[in-house]
Amino acid sequence: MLSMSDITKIFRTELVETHALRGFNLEVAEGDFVSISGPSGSGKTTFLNIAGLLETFESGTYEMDGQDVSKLNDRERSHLRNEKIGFIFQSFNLIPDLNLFDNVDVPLRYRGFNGKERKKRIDNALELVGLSTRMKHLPSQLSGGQQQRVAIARALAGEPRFLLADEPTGNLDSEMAGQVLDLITDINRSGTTILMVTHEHDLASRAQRQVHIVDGRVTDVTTAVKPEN
Amino acid sequence: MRYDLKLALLSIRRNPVLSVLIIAAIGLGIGVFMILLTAYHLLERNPLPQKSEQVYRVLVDAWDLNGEPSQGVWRSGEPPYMMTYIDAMNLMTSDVPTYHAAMFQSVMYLQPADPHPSIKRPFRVTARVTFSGFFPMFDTPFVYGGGWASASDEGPDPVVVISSETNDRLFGGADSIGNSIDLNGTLFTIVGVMDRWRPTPLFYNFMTLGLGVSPPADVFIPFHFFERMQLGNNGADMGWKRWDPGFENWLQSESTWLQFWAQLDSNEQKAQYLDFLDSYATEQKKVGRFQRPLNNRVYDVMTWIKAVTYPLNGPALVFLILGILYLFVCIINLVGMLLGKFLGRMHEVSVRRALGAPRSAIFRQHLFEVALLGLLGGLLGLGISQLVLTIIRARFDLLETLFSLDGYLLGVALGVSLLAGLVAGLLPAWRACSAAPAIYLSTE
Amino acid sequence: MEIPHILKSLIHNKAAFVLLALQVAITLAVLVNALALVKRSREIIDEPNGMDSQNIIAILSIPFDPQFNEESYMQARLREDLDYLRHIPGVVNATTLNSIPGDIGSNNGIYADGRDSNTGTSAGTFSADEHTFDTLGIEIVEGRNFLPEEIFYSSWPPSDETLPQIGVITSKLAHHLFGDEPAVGKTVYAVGLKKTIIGVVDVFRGRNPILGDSQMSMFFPGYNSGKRASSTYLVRTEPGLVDPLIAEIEEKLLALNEGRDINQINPLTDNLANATGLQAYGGLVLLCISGLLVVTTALGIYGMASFAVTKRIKQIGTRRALGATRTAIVRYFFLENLLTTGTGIILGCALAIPLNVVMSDLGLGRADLMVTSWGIVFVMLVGQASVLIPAYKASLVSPAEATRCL
Repeated sequence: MLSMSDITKIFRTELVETHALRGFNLEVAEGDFVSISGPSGSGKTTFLNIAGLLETFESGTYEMDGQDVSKLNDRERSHLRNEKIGFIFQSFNLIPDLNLFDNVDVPLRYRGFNGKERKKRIDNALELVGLSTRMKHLPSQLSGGQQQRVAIARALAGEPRFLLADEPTGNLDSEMAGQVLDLITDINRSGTTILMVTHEHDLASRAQRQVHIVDGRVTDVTTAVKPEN
Repeated sequence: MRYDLKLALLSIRRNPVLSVLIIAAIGLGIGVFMILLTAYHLLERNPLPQKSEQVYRVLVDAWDLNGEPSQGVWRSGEPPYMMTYIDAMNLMTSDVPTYHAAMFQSVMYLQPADPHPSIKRPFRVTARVTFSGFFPMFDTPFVYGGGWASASDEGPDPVVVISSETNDRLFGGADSIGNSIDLNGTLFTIVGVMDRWRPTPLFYNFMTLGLGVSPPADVFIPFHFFERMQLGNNGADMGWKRWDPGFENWLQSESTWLQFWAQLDSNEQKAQYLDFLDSYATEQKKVGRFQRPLNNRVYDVMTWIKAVTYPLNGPALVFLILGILYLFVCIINLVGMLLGKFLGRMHEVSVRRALGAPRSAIFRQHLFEVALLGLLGGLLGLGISQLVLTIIRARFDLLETLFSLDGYLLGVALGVSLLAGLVAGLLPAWRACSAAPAIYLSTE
Repeated sequence: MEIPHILKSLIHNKAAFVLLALQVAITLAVLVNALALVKRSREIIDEPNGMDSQNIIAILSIPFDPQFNEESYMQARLREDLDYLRHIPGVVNATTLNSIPGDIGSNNGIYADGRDSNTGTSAGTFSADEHTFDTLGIEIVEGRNFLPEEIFYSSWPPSDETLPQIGVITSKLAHHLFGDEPAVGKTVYAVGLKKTIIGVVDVFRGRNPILGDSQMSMFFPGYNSGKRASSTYLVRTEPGLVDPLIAEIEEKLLALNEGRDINQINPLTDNLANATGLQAYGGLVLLCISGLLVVTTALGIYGMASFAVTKRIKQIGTRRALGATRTAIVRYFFLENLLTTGTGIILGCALAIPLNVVMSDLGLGRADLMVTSWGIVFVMLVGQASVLIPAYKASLVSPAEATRCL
């Protein structure tokens, strides 16, 4: 469902050119759980930004569900993000002024759902992450793990085709990290494609396919045997 | 303290646009406030500071039994604010006041007695027609000579006191005592040249709705010339009773048009004078005048000014309130800008805190910066108000002492701007120092 | 759309919200009152004054020659002046009054005979001759003009019992005194004498508004010629001749008689403009203050919004990542401003009312719905314009800000 070939991304300043990605290739199939790992500065975040349509790139092709997304304008990319992609950020990125309900509501409003539909989806999403009793709370009243679960609910409420997770446990202690990771694994099991950027080996090993990036190139791909249920 | 100053200057330099905006906000606020405060202050000026409590406007109530002298803006229950010729002449016979004088303003035409290099035609002058008591009572300053002797109040000598401006115009400022001038065809001998004198407001004769900024008069002549020359009154004239045409009938009429002032140095003298006024009124009742209940009053200079200018108090107060509101808006704005300025450098504060700066030092540092900005803004505000006031003075041809900042206003300006800065800076400075050091350190 | 979210966010950031709303409130309150004051003074200035004022020259001649103490001399000079003025080519008519319309002239109580004394009022009083109404360009709507044989030389006020006891009043004064009844033939008490109304003229705003209603006036027949009285002439010219004739007339009048000064010679519109000067200046001052307020508030809104954008870069990036288009971000800031300004406007209306009550008590003009609506629309637009740049900057925030690790 996701196909990147020969993608190049260059950051230019007056003095230097940095090739964040050079000739980057990756295929992701429907239902995959792919982890992207690599050392600091290897191009992980740039990859994530491009995959999530947050940034444009210099050359190469990127197809999502067979559609070439490299030629889309800002508005079309915004709509595509809103409909097909769910994001989970390292620092949660919840809006501090809004309670949990309203935070989950944010992408749904951009989607243009009516009030009834939104409420149903928010209730379901918060139920899924086990926070439906706290929907009137502000993010600051929650623990880090809980905040990340809200962020996951926000990402899932729009029923995206795939989920992009950027170091989802980076700001969490190990117990909370475990819970969040279990949640992500569950989501993948229910059919959502997952791309997870992480530098932690343990985390990466939870994915079916582990992609390793160094200097903006894929150096190594490991495919795990799908666990038997 | 010096370290605080250094940090403040550094901070101002680092963010010049925001600093300029902040100073401009305080400056504009203070400037507008000062202009309106100056206008308001104008109404509280004492034109005769050395003896304003001894000099009294005299009012007697000989008005119509069935009406009120509430013409125009004059307050109900007050006696008419001017006096009839009969009453003024009768009151002039009293020996109770230290000095007293009835007076009015007339328009006359002045011609130099001898051929003058530049003045060919008679020119219009304002003449104050009054008594010898006018000069010592109002402490008028003289460059040459002085007021006429009280004997000249009876006549017949044509004596005149001229203003310094008139003396400059006719004699180039030289000592002109003994020279003559032609007023409406009569030759007058100069006995005194006044020094520059601009009592503001012109308390002894100002229109209820004017600002009282007109000059005292160009020439001053003894009152008896009014009858002899049949001078016209260039001022208000209010009456309630018809009189037959003719100058003599006007003099005997109930028309009020003269201003009357008296100097009463002590409370005893004042009480004695009020007794005199009441017994005069009672006397007049016998000949059918003064039909209303006794209502004779004396008002000292400041009380008099307040009584006459009260219609202006409202608008002046409204404008002062507007000035305060504007200052308030500027302060609100300032809070916003300072929040931005201070929160924009939380990282620096965190470093300082981490390096051991106590919360109080951070607070003090920020407040000091705000106070400095406040003072700079205050100076700018003073500049702005001075500029605008100069323009207003030029536009309306007002004299320098008027509408200008004195020491009191200067103090108010700097005090208010400092206060404004500190009030506005309190919340932002508190926010800046109350943040925990760690949060902002870990973020970069 | 996002309004509930924005509201919650505003309530969460109370300080900034309240500060901005207060600022807008004060600005609106002052602006509305300034507009009301300016509107009122414009109305006073623009109201038709009933006169052909564009084509009238006002002249004030002050005598100083002792010969003027002789009444016969004075009267001869007055006749001579009028005769000269009426025969200048380009002059329609000329007259003499006791004071120039618009100046602080004479003011007297006028009472309707046989009526409750409460029907009385104070009114501007003028002396007039048979040329006066034609010179002023005001129309006699009822009754008749003064006749030449009714005009005598007299001092002011016209209290001579031997002269014709008649007068002409303005329709406004007629209505005040007699309601809808015809005024002609009725008698009034004025300057202590009973006078019969012979005519009623249409609108004439000749009385200084400081003294009261500018439309209330009464004319008495007569030439104002007390001893050494200054003389006031009005000269009505053919259209457009006011300015060219002024210099010529001044020179000629001075040559005609050297024992007097032409103290004033100017278009009548100058006198009428001076009469309303006080209101006009008040309005100007207030307008300047509100202009400064608007600029300051606009800067304040701009500053706060810029600060908010800087502070919320991460949040804006997140919203963009979650699917907000650039338009949605711009809309967010405009809506946020609309809510803040709207709150300020409601507060401002509440604040404007007491301020306006004070102002209208002082006769400084009452704010109506029209003025208030314009003020509100203007403040709204200023608010929206002030967030234009910050909103645009916000829309430029990259969605990749969401993944940036600070």
